Amino acid sequence: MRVTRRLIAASALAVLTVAAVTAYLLLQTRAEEWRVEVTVGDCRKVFALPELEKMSTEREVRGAGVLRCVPLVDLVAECGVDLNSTLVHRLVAVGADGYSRSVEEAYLYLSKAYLCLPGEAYPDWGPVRLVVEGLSSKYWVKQLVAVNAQLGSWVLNVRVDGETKRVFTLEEIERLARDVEGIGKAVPLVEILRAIGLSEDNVSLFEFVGADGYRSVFKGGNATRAFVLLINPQDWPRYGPLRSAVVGAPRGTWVRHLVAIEVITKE
Amino acid sequence: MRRAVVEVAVLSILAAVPTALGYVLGPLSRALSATARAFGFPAAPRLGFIPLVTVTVLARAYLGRGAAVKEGVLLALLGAVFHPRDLSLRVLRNIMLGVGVELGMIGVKRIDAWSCVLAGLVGGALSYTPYLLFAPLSVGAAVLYAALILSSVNWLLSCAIGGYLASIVFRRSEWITVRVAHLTSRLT
Repeated sequence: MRVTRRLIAASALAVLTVAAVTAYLLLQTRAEEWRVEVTVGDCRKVFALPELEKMSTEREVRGAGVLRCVPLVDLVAECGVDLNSTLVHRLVAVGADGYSRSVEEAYLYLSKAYLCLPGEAYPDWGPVRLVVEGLSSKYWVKQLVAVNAQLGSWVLNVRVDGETKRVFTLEEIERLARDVEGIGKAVPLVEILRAIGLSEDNVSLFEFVGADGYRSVFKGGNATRAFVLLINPQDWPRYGPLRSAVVGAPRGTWVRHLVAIEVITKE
Repeated sequence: MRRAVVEVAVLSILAAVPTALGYVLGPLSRALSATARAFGFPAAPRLGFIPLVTVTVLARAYLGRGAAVKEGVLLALLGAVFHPRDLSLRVLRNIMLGVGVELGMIGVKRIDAWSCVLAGLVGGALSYTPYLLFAPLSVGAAVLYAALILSSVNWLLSCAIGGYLASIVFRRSEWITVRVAHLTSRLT
């Protein structure tokens, strides 16, 4: 029995070693066959490695130097999704090894998600790796082969001290809105703060975040002058369904396609 | 009842080992990955998983039949507490590891290095099955399958290392088996 066991174990190790060497050689010689499948709702697109290489541009990736990367939002847009009126709520990335990660509240990270092509610099990354700036590298799926983006309606995520406190739907925002002189239909920030149990006196800083990653930060004292504007549907392609506004602040600080408000409270 | 108490104590001590080692193995794992990368290797041993295999094989070696499954369940519970984000993967993976080690050790009378390596390999093969649930098996490009094979082989070889380490530890601590048997016979 012991001899049989020894034989089985030794044979298994030998077979595994041969399989590993063969697979490695195959990977090295036929890397251009690599494909990444992007699914958005019912739409499914497959991108071959040479195609991704053509779409890529150089960018600095934290801890990895300058790499060629493709913004994930470009691949999602290939499916003809209107990102002016819908948001990607969940991203599921799968590696060839079966490792998978899902990113919830993905609209906060979509603008920072890239498919990076490391070439020969990082052989353990495989031909493609998902890189999500702002998230731990645990979410950076190596040997990426599939990305599934789940869409949903527009929301406003209110985060307090780095944690999601409440997610308002567009209908909820509409219910809170009123006509503000000189601005139009809007919800005062203090109303939103009140709805989550905060008062403007507790706020040290607040920041408006756009779906494209654009951010604008203000001191808590400005909370009474800050509003969330409801945009008419015909203007959604330009501003998105929601836009921030701070009365008296330059227009450059008003965030279009508003998806989140980050609040930092006083100690 | 008292046999169960001793068993729970041994299983708990073993289950704590991978958690405690995690603080050391994390940086070591990164260093090993960086070294493998420097030499152009696409994979490095899964250091974090090796202790899980080692303690599961050790549980079976010290406590006998059924202990590997119990250790697997205990590791799954710990995994659920410490890594709640990967719940579906880790819980199933650790339980399957226990089941695999148990299967690999069926009929083993005397624990030696080969039986431990084989148990590690069987445990590794079963514990990889949850990952296969997410593997893109429908995508038909040879390189994708090659990457899957390479990753699973890397996983299995890591498990074999874990099994071998268990045999070394067991050889040097065989007295624990005697002590457990002694304690339980006196207590029951």
